[in-house]
Amino acid sequence: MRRLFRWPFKWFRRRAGRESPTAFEDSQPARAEAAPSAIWKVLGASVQGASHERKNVPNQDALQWWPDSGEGETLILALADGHGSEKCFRSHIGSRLAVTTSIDVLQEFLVNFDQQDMSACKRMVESELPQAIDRAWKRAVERHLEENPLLESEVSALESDTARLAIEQNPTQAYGSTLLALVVHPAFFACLQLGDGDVLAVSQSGVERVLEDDPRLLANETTSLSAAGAWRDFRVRFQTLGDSLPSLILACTDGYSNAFRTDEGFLSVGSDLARMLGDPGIEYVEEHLPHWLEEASQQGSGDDVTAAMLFCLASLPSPHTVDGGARHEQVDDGTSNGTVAAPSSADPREA
Amino acid sequence: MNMRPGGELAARELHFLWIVDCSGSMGVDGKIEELNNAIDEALPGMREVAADNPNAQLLIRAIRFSNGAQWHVLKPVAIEEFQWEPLSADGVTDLGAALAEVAEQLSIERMPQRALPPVLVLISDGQPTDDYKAGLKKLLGQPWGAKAVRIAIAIGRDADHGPLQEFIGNIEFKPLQANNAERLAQLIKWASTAVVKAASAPSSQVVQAGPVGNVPIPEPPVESGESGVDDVW
Repeated sequence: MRRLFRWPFKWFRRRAGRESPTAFEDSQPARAEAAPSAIWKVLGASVQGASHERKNVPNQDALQWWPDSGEGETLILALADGHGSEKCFRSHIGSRLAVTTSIDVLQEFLVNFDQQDMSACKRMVESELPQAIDRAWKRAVERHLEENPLLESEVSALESDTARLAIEQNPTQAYGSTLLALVVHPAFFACLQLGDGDVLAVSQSGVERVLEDDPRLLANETTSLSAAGAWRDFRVRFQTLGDSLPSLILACTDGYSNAFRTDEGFLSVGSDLARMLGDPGIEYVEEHLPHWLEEASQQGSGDDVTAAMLFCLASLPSPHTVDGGARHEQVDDGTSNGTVAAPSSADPREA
Repeated sequence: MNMRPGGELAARELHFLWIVDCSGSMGVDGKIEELNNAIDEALPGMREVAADNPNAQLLIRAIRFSNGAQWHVLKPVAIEEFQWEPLSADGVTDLGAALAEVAEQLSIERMPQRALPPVLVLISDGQPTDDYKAGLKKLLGQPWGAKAVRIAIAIGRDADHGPLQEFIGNIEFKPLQANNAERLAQLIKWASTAVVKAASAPSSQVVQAGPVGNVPIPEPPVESGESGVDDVW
């Protein structure tokens, strides 16, 4: 594997097995506990948006995970949302490069990090990984441009002289994309986000957003891998994992959250999915997920929609403990041609 | 069993606001009547654009300014139900008061997070008589005001382009000049259809430093006929 990191000198010294750490290092509080390893599973889907279907524009989102089996003690998940604007005419490629390069970087990180020093691991995730991903994505774009130079037809299709000049000066902009990259490992969970999109964690205490909001991301504006110094715009969360694991971690592009009338309606996706993975079960969710995302785009945002969930098999609610023992029942609410889930208000809605 | 996760799905709101100069000069040479006609006649086209994009819910409001500013339509009305009630002209040109009112309506607390960038269309035939810069500062100080698509139409040769250009805040896009009824109708139709279409399904734009457009504004229509021949205003 090509080296994607610039490992700091101090990092290598620690990995070299010094037996006498400094007093400063002794004072670092976090060290990985030897916890029993949980088995994680990932499933997800990506669908072309209703508005892109009307305009015959390809899905600008990308989704990938490692390992391919989607199951293991350690998993990496990456989603990306190509901007799809006139100026970002190669953003469907940019989003694919975003997921592949971030997974490469994270794989290399997992090979090299020191499991005995979670403080150092946290520092690496927060300070080194954004730069490594930013560099790797821009190198990948450069390689793609070398092999596939911009076509005259691509540039001349831009409406304004300003846009044409901007792309000729900085063709990386044509590939603009967001990125959400997640790692679950027996010792920690890490999440890195650049641009719009959502990451939700579902636990017994409820559903929460994993990362702080970025107030700049309003309307249709987003931060982007194509920007100079993009690594500065990453939002990062690092969390050691003890006995209390979240039931579910859900990552999705903004086409999903924008499809719901209220934010509460979107957040309930997390708790609903956690219940549905327990009952009716994983296969049901896997089978229906693409349809749910299509529906969200058609009846909601119109945007491409990508969603993927990480869950720990052992922490899923069993069918008999869903809603504290209540089971979904099919009831006729008298207002539709189908059924709605009962009994709680947070239960999944009728499709 | 056929369930799906999450709450109610809904199209994203697209707020469209007319900001109309109703000063006394708008009553001269039939300007206000032609403006009323043009907006009324543009409504079927707006409904068609809205129908073509079910993922955006087009909501209309209007505010008039003369002696101060008053909401003509305060509560957002879905385009399917919207009817234009004619405006009348009288008084001075308190543009700043109107912009301050709009700023309040576009506050983060009043606008849904998932809304599309609002479209603000300012129409004026004169020069502001109040502190328009203060109102504009309030508007651009609101995140939704700063990210709004802002279009300005100048009616007649006496219209001051300076404040209108400041309102637009994008050096690449100039105020549009209407010196006769036909051109005014053409520009109002364009703003309420082509611009709405662009704003109702915008692609993501990279966060920019400074107030530049975040929705690519389509080219305005070219004025038909020989320039200046039919000018009456």
